[in-house]
Amino acid sequence: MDMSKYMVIFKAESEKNIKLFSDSLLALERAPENMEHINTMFRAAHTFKGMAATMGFQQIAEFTHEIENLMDILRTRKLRLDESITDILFESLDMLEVLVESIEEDQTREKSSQVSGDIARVLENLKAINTTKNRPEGIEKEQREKEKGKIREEKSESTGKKENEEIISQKQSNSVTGLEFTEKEKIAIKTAEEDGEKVMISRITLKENCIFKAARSAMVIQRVSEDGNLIKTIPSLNELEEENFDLDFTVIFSTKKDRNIIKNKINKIAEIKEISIIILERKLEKTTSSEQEKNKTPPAKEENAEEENAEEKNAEEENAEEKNAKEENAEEENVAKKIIEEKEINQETGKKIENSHLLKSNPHIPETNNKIKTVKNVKISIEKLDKLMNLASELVIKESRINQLTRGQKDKELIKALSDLNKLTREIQEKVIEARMVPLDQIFNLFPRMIRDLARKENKKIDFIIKGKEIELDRTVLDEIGDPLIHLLRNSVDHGIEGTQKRIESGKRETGTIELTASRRENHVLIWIEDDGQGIDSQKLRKTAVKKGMISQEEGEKLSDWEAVQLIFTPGFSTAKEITDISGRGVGMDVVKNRIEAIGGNIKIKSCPGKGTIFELKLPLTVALVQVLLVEIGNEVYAIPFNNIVKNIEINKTEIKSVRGEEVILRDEQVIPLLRPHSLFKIPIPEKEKLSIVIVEKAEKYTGIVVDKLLGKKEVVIKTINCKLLQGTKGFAGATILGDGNVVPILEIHSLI
Amino acid sequence: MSYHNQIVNVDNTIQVIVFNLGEEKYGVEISQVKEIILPTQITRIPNVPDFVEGILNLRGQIAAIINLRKRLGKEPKKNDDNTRIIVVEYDNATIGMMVDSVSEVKYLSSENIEEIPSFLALRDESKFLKGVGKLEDGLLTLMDLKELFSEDELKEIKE
Repeated sequence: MDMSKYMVIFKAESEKNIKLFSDSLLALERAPENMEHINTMFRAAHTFKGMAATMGFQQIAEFTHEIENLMDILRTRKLRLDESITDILFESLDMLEVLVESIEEDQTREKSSQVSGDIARVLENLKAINTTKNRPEGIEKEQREKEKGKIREEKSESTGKKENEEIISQKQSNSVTGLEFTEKEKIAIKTAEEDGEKVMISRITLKENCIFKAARSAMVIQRVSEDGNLIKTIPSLNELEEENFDLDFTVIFSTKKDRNIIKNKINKIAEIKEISIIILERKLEKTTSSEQEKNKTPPAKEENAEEENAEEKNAEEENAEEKNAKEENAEEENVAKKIIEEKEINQETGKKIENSHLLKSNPHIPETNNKIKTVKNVKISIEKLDKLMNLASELVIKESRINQLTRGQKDKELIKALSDLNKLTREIQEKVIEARMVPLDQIFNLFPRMIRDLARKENKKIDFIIKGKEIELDRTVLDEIGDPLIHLLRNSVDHGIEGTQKRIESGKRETGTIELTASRRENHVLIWIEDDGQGIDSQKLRKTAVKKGMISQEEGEKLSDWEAVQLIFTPGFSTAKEITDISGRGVGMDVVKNRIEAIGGNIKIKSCPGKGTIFELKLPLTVALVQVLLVEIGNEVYAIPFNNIVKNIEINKTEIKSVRGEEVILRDEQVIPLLRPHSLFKIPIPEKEKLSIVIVEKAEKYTGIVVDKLLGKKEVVIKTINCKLLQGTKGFAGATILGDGNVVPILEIHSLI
Repeated sequence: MSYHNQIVNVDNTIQVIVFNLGEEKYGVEISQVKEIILPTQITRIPNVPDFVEGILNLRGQIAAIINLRKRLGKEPKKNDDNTRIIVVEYDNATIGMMVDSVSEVKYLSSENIEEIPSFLALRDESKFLKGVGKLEDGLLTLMDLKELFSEDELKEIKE
């Protein structure tokens, strides 16, 4: 069998199961008594093992087998879950990920990568636990008793279930079962019949021990689709994919091929117990085509069928139906089907099964379910989205250009058309921006495991809480904040949360808490990282800064506590006594700050000694669009991003004071230094009585930028300039093109001040 | 690696655009050239090395413009009717090189390309050159875009 086709399924299923397992494991760590998690994990391991074995990946199968065994031991309470076991389980998961990944690289074959040593070690660990704990002497009496009770319970439960099931199936065999088709499906059936295809209803029963149910059903559908068209499945395709079915499912399809050929093809798929194929042979006239057979007298039924067929040829359809209906004891008005073939039994089960059982199809057939799966999502490459984004921006620029050119025109029709155009372009732009939005969960979901591992390594107990992971951000922003967030979280674990002993001593809860919260505020997203750890010792920061020569002793003493805490954003500043595996790495908070500022965001820190630290990140929803204030400096136009601007004011020349040779103004009892960009741009400073000043903020300090003219607010598209010559230019964040085609540089305030 | 490998096509002939800076002729491989435009309005940018003239709008794309005279350490010259900007695609960026004039397109075969002669190698600009082509009417210096747009040197300038 060509396995490569199923690699996709296998891959997806593997990821699903590993995720399921990992999530449950994390949950289990918090609530070790919760059997449900253990059961989920057991099932995940079991399913995974089955898949791997079917695909012929021995190493994965062996691994998952050991995990499954371990889970079984835990499940039956022969062993209590402790940290060492959790660690091994997590390690095992990592190894499984490595194994699955190595398959991906090599398509279908398992590769023994360089990590094989690790794999072997983890596997040995797993095996070691399993063998020691499986010995009966390792079981305490009490536990054994408990276990027995448990088993008994389970047994009675399962027999009870069985009985129930039998009752249901009996009921079903006695009742009328209906197949309902939607309009779409009816059309599909009709077209198929017109094309000379036969519509077949195939009921497939999988073996009881089948462990790859979703994949098996997918394989059946695949086979069927090779020779015909799939019309409907019961349960729906989605449910099949989700494994939301017991052992049997029904596939309705049209084909030109012979029934037996199809059957043989399906029969080649492993783990199938039974296949039955029935040919649907009449047109469907009403919404319901029901069919049911009583199997007591099959030969008679055949006759009936033939009779019906003959009558049908006589063209009196309604009559035929009526007659048929009467003969069939008026089961349904619209009996529209003739059974040609009834059933097949796989060689494995000698047991004959009644026809009715064959079609005991699910009693809950959702009516509105369109079985021909419609495409609801399309994958689109980032490049295409970026291109679209650029085009949309171009459109906006051109649109505003047209608006400019037609200003003053009085033609009502033209004005109407322009306003429509304006709305449409805005909408296109909005939609494209929306399409680029990705939920924060995409990066947030990595953190629980990371925090857990770090905490274990540091021997700390930490509760990690995530809120607002559903909030969406532009993918470019998301790309940029992953590393900074990791760094901040690492810091919280490493420097924030104290060791258990210290926490108890300082009267805190033994377990520390780190909270990662995201929240949307108008045009930006706020992310807080809050820990209830020891906070930052501002005195220590002062000392370090003085020692490193960043500030003088005197300056250090002058700093307020808040200001001292801000020192951690200074390049080259790190308070960790030694570089640890966790937050060392030579990446400082200044890098975090730079990264966040580079995408137009900012970061703030508040720390309370003994109580904890909060970082606040303010991020733009999207980096492609920014609100700017257009200003004139000399004869040139520049743009200042709005997120830097506090306000703009006009002052008299006389208001300018001089402090230590620097120009300042006083506003609201604050001394605001002035910056004249003219000199920077080699533009002569004009002599004017009135001055326009744009007050900008950096690290909660104000600076006034003297400009010659305020031109107004505008939403612009930042054009990326790939040229390395210009990257990292101080004071220059990029450029935008205005409606008139002019290029305007966007000022980068942080490096300018 | 010899310069031959970099610039010579399979058929051993390359096509170059010939441009002038003062009396000297330079060449840039045609495959690297996107278009040649007249100097239009260029927006200045603060804090860049002085050979960067600024940026311009190339049909919705922003192109950085460098003044090749200044880049090669030659005397600057006022723009006139012959001034052209040769737009090249380099390392995903669109960059325009401002030159005195563009004269023609020439075919050069590999035998006619030689290493930079020692008398040229001593000059400041030599590191921007990757070879010398022999034409019937004189020598043609081939530009090395990589060096021309390299950022390492820029860092020095910035500092």
